[in-house]
Amino acid sequence: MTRKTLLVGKTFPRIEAEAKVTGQSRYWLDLPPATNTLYVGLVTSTRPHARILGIDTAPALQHEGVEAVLTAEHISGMLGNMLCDRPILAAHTVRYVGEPVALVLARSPAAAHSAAALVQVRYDDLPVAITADESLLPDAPILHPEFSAYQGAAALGGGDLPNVAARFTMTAGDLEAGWAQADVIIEQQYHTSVRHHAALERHGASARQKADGTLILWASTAAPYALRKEISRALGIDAQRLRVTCARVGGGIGAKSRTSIEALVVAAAMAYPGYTVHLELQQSGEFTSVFVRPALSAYLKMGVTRQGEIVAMQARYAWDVGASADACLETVWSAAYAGTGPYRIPHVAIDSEAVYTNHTPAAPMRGNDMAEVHWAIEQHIDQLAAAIDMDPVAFRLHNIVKGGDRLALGQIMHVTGLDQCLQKVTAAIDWQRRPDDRPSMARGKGLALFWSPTTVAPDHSAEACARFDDDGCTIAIDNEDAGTGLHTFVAQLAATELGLPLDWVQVSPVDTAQGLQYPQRKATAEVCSVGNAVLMAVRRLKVHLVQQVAAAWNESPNHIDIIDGIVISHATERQQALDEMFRAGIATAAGPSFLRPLEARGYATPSPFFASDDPEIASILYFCAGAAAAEVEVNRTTGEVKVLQLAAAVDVGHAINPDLVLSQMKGGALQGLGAALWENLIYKDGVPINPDLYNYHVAMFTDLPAQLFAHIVEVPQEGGPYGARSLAADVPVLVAPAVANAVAQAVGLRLTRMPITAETVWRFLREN
Amino acid sequence: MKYPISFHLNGKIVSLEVSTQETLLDALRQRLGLTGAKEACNEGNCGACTVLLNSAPVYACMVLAVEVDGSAVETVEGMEGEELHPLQKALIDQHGLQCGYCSPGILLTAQALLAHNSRPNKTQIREALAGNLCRCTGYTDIIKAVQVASRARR
Ligand code: FES
Ligand code: FES
Repeated sequence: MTRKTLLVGKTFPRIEAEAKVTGQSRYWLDLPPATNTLYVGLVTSTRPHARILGIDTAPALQHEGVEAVLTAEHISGMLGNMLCDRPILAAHTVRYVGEPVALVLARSPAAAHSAAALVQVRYDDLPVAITADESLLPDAPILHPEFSAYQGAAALGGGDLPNVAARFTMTAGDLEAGWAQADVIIEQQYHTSVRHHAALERHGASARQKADGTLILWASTAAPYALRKEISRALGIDAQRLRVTCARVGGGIGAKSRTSIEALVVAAAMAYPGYTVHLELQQSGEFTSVFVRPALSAYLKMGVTRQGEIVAMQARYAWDVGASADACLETVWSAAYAGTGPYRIPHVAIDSEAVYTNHTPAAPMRGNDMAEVHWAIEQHIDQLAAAIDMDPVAFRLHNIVKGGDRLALGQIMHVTGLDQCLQKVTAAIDWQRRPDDRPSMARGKGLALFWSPTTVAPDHSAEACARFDDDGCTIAIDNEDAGTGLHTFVAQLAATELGLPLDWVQVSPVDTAQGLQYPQRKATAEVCSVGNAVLMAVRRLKVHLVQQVAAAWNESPNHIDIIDGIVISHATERQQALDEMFRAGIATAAGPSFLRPLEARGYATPSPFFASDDPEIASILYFCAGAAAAEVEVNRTTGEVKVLQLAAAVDVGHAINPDLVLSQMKGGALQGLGAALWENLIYKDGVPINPDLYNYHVAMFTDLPAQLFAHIVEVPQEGGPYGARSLAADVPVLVAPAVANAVAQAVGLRLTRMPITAETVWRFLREN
Repeated sequence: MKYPISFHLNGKIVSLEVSTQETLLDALRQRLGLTGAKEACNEGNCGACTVLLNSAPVYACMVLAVEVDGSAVETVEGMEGEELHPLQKALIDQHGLQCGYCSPGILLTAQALLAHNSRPNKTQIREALAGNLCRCTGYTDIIKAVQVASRARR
């Protein structure tokens, strides 16, 4: 008897790789131009915070080729999933440089561009707050005076302080008792920088209203369903009227699953039926008008006993979310509920808040931004270990959360491979061997652990659809693969279940016309729900298929199986290739019996590990865990930090495609390195001064450390598809604090502010 | 003002009229329908638009179409022959791509490198590719792919 081939746990190239390397893949900008197009010239705010006194559109309207200029008088609505706090177009106030203020619609891109420059906006400047710390000052300007009227505002615990949009707290034990037990208490403030997702492909969108009133939106998004939901609500139209489709996505890094400029073109298309309204952001717009990544100001206070027991922790995480908090709510929530880091601490009080500031709205980047939280915690852990003279590895091992431990949340922790990850990375960089200093070069090693909750909306569920016809099997899910390998993952699951060769399975471009039903607010990019929905869909498909064959062959379905694309009866040893069945019919004594095309849907609503008492926000499905280690060399004269070795290990549950997981880890590690050393969107008086890829430093080929190790740890996730837990896209989390700890060891000073640039190190060395 | 130009594109002669402000990238993508060269920053910062101009890699967004009159231009669409180019195959097999937006530019820069250095070491590969950004992969696997392809060619 033939054995079934498992296509999970094996490396395959990404299913769309060939189309990408030959230039055949179509990204949004590659779609053929539509006829009857109106090009959008976007007029954006040049002020970080100001009242709009008036907009003079007359000169622009006189420009040749200009059809219209639309302002908040014509387009209104507030974007948001849980909290509608982002105006589609600024009405009376602008809150960041880059905020859309008006749209010029013109017959050519050139006319749109030059006419946009003619729109005169008169501003009355208001005081500016650009960091969370500034926005929390008593005399800070109030960014959203009408906050309490926003849809969703009431449920978020915000509004208690003027610029706080949401507040989540988590407490356990008795903090005072904890401090009393501690022999050493350390307090420290940490800061991360505002960064940019910097996917290579810029944002763009085009929309058209058809004669029957329906709307179609083509966008550079990974999450058409999520966009449809948000845009239709913001514009007050029936979701069924709007169809959203996407092309290949040239990198999302978190910024292409949320809604921003897409709503503008839909609104403009409604005003100009029959035209395709086309908006392409330029590079500076990509940096200022869509999303940036939130920055964190973290205050930590932790107490430890001489024996090395962490007994108490108090934290205040103030998230600088920019001018809109909505896209960061799960980040802020996660920081509260997972804000201890992967440590067992009995007495805890954590406060996590979303703070409005005058820059581009923030959205998380790869995962829930637990990176920022760990930037603080992991540096703090090193300081605690040093204070009681304990080795940082031993100290961590002594305090990490293990399966069966009770968390501060109250839940009993599930098993993870955290300790194995730690072992892997310390071995990779030969942790025990002390680095040798040279006179002008100081060397140091550092490490960091992390955990990250996989969060889902409480009404969360996923749907997948599987179809079989003579093209093979086609799967539809709600998320485009922006580079994570999600579609290859899905194809491997489906091929394994159906007994097909991998190249018989395709994942169709995501299009809301496929009609998947998603009650939840956000896209379900995480592997557990999507994977399980796909498994259910293909299992049902297989049942239908086997039944048809069994009926034709006059056999019991129980005896029929599909192996490597061949339908086999274990009872009679009769067999026929499946593709032939579709082409020529099922062979029977009475002549061919034709197979009907088949379709089946699957659903998944995984039960959460932790459901909070904020029913509106999120639940935790499980935790992902990992570790990183780094060895650095610091030039004592110039302050320059060079990373010699970098190692990361992540417990992914089960690596369905090991090399693709490793690829995610390596890419993530370099992003984390960029966070630690370079990436920083700098604002001067509220104006970003480096909004392009030349002045904003994204890691280059030449920045790669000499040694980069990535290791997979596999402790299967209960309930995960084939035990899978993660595609490892959230690894950037790990690396930055490990680098900071290595720098601290090398030069004996701690830089708590991200990024650790040569200049900051040089200054610090000079002053100390 | 329009200027007639003609040049070799992937081995075939093409002629068209271009305006003085038109970039090579726009001419390729919008006039000739070749969207393999990607438009990303459009300001010479990222390398996604890289093509070969007389065998040397250039940022097509920074070259004016009028400048290529009489020259030879190669894009990713011209890399494949009967089969995939060894660099394309190696990039797939070594997982040197995720979103793939950087891939066409990287392939052409690497092709130019291999044309004059058939056995580049890692440092030479990194330096040759320093003008091509990739946000996704972390570069390691791309470097490996170039090495594998250089061995396959010999
Ligand atoms: S698009 Fe030409 S260099 Fe970025
Ligand atoms: S694969 Fe996405 S930029 Fe390189």
